[in-house]
Amino acid sequence: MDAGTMVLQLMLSGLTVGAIYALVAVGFVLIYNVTGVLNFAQGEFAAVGALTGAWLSMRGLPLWVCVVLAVLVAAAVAAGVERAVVHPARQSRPMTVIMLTIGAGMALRGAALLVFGTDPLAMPMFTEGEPISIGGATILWQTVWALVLCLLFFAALVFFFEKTYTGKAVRANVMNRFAARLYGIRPTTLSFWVFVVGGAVSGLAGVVVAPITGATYDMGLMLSMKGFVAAVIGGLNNAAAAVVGAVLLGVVESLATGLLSSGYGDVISFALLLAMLLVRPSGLWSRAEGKRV
Amino acid sequence: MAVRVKTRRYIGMIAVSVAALALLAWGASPYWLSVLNVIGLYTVVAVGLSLLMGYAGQVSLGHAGFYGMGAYVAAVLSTRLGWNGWLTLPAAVLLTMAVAWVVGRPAVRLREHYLAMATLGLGMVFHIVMVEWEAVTGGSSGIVGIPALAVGPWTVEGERAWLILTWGAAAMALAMAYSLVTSPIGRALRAIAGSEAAAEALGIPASRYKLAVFVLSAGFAGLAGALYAFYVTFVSPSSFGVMMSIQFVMMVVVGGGHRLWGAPAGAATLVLLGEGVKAYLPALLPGAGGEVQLVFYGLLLIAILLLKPDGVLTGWATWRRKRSGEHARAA
Amino acid sequence: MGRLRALMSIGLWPLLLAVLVAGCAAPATNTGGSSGGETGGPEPAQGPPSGPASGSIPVGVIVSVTGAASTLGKPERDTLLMVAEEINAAGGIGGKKLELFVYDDESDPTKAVLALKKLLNEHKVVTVIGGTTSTSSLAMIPEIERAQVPFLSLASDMRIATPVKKWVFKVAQGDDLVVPKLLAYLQKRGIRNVAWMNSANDYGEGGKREFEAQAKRYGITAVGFATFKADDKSMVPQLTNLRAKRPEALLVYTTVPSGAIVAQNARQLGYDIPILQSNGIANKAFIEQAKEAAEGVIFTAGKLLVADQLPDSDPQKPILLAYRQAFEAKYNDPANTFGGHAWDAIQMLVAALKAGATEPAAIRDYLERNIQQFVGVTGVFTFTPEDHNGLKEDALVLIEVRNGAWKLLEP
Repeated sequence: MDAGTMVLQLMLSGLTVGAIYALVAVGFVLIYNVTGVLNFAQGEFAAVGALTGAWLSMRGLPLWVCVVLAVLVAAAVAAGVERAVVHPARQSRPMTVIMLTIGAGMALRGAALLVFGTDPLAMPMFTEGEPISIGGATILWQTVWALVLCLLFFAALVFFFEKTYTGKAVRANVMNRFAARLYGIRPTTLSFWVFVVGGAVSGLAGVVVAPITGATYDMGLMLSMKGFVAAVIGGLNNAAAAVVGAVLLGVVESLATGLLSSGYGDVISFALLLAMLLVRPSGLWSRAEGKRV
Repeated sequence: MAVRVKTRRYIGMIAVSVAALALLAWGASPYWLSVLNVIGLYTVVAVGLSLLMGYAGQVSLGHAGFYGMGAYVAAVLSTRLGWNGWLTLPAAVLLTMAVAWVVGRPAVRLREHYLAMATLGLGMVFHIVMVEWEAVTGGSSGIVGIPALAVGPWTVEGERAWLILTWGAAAMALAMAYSLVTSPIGRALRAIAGSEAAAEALGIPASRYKLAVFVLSAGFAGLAGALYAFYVTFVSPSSFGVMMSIQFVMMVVVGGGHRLWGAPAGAATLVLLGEGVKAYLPALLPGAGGEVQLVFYGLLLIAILLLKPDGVLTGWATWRRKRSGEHARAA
Repeated sequence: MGRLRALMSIGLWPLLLAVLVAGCAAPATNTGGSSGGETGGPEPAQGPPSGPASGSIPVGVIVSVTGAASTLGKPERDTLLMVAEEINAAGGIGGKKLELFVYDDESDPTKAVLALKKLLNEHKVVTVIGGTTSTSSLAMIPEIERAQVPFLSLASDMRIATPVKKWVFKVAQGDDLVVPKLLAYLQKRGIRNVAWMNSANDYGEGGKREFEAQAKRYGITAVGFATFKADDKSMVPQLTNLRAKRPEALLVYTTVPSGAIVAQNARQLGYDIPILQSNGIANKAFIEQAKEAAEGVIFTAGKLLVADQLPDSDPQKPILLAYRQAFEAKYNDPANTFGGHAWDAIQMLVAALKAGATEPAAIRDYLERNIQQFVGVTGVFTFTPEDHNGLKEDALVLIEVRNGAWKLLEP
């Protein structure tokens, strides 16, 4: 394997991980922009999706049913968290609400442990078969799935916000809460639905990653953190930038780990990303101030 | 004048707290003393963090890294290089502050969430270094057999002796923080927390102040970490992960980030909540193991944050204000 | 000017503390012995436990039911509760019930130490079982030695029982047994150049330390090392890097799920060299997750997984089958070797208690003198004053994954 193939392999692997981070990061950005809440239970929603999907598939249900149910359950859990925790605290300081989402994450983790136990659950790949070979490097079919689903979700998002009336209304709400109220949009309703969508996309992330890494009750914390980092790299106010941030994070991590040092790979990638943030202190490309979804 | 009155009240509060602690120390079992010691150590970290969050308006998700760094400096110097324990304490504090200065200098230029992310990354980096730099840190297995703090024949041993150290450090941190926030620097910090742009317009060098508070809070964390190393006589990376950083922030928020007394209150709430869930839940719910405890811990935390969104001291503060209000009217 | 004064007044406080501590340290920290009560440390538990324990025997348990090591800690706790229940249902020991005080350390050594103090001071336990992780076990040892209460550690780090500590016993097979078994297999196959991967935690590092110490003796050199974090999502980068170094075999020291991810990633990259893993993957979740990639993976573990394939002459066979049957009937979950460590620990304690040793010192002496050829789930133990682990390498077997099942390679 020559150096070129090696780099290609590392980049493809980074793409896999990046696609997973991206799905979590997009949920982060969506929820943050509409509600102003940094939701650190985001990774927990992914864990719920992964565990539900894997558990159902081990009971012999058809794969697509598992995926759909996993996404629905994750969305329902997110909705529950919004109603039980975020909604009652809508007048509190942002920091208090962030801590509330962390508390909710803990409770979810404990509940997942009670329901699913400690052993990792396995899930079949969406498409069986040999890995795809590209110029000597290989990539799993599951990665293709992750990328395709990521793009599909993203396209749906763009369509919703640019082409539908409700989507435009949501954007109005993000830009000006008061004006949005005048048009009959209730921020609390919006908060609920954005959690549903954010939970669903995280659940999707979970169920896509489950075949690759297995599903464990404690996989959420790490996903929350990486999703947050990716979202911040992207500027936190732009879903497209968050996706790019996530892929960048995945690829840099992979290259640093594979080429430089397996132990210090994450240190190197973090240093690079921080250096980049210093050069562009408001994220990759937020040219203008102000929020966008 | 107002400051003088407030100072006197604070001295009174400190005296009351010391008396209460002494009483507790006298009557409590070694287990409860160890709980008090842990609260004391966490208080030191939380005080620094509440300065950073409540007064400079910055969040750090990496303070467990500084806490761990202090612990490792103390552990490495005392075991590998044979330093006297007491000498490692200032070394740990200074080194932690130096590192905080180096990494904080660019980081404080970042806006709120970027600083949170940068410190989160920093905490992860410290954690990785603790794990990977095996030759010095002993890797994941950590460093065992840290000698007791001693000068000549005098050794700090036993929970009661430790109580003086941990709460002495906590009192020192509180007093330093109090001096800081009542000084002109404190007023400048509050201006920065209010609006950085406005503060800069007034000629306050916001980044420099933020950096100073960041470095100070890292120093507190380093001190607490060094004491922790001698207290537990053992360090390993698993005590200094991301979750610990979050716990520290949680302590500040639960205590009410904008007042210094929130730090000990938040530290005590979280530690007692954890211990309480372990002690009483199995009695109430037979067979409730760690899984159930985790659920309840999360739920109770949510309940506290929902009922006391401005910190557990809220009710008490209003009561005091009301009382002092009546007092003023009577006078 | 004002700022300078402020800085001075801030700086004053540490000085004040230093003076205060210097003043207080002398009387309060005297350990000269004359004022033993002053030190406040737990009193050595001498004599039979007093107070609430009159009708029961209090035993302390500290395991990681939650957190990173929960895969290990949960079966440990479940096993201990199961055995205690069995014994109490049969009338207890000498008319006394076994009372377990179980604490979850959340895989955090600080919490383990706090829980230990509580067990010693509040519950006056006669023995402590636990320390799921090596770090928790190691962190508890100083307090254990001070309190003089026997401690049966469930973790694998060699340093727990080497050098021997008076009150500490270890029931898990150490890396010092697991690694040589793997090396001997490689040597027999004539493999010399290997690549080594381990998870960056105490388990993985324990294996690496042992590998580096022993590889040369078996004529084996490492062409490359790599680590990964146990919660990493992909080990392709590490494997890509290692493959360029042309190893003849890959050694992986980790637990599930990361062990399964490594196997899958290696298959994806087209690795065609033997893959050897450790007892950390001795869990059915490994096969379920790695699927075809698990095929052909060889690892060293205790005999529990392949109990029914053992020859009838194996002294452990009946115990293994009985434990597995009991655990699986009660919890509807496959038994694993970690629960087996807990089984051994509590059975040893029960043996001591049944022999009339009910005080900490007597229990310790019994364990050291009378645990001879003790047949357990982990292996056959013989404790001596020089050996508080007491296992030989016959406690381990080589297992291969074949057709989605465990296959005993050699008895």
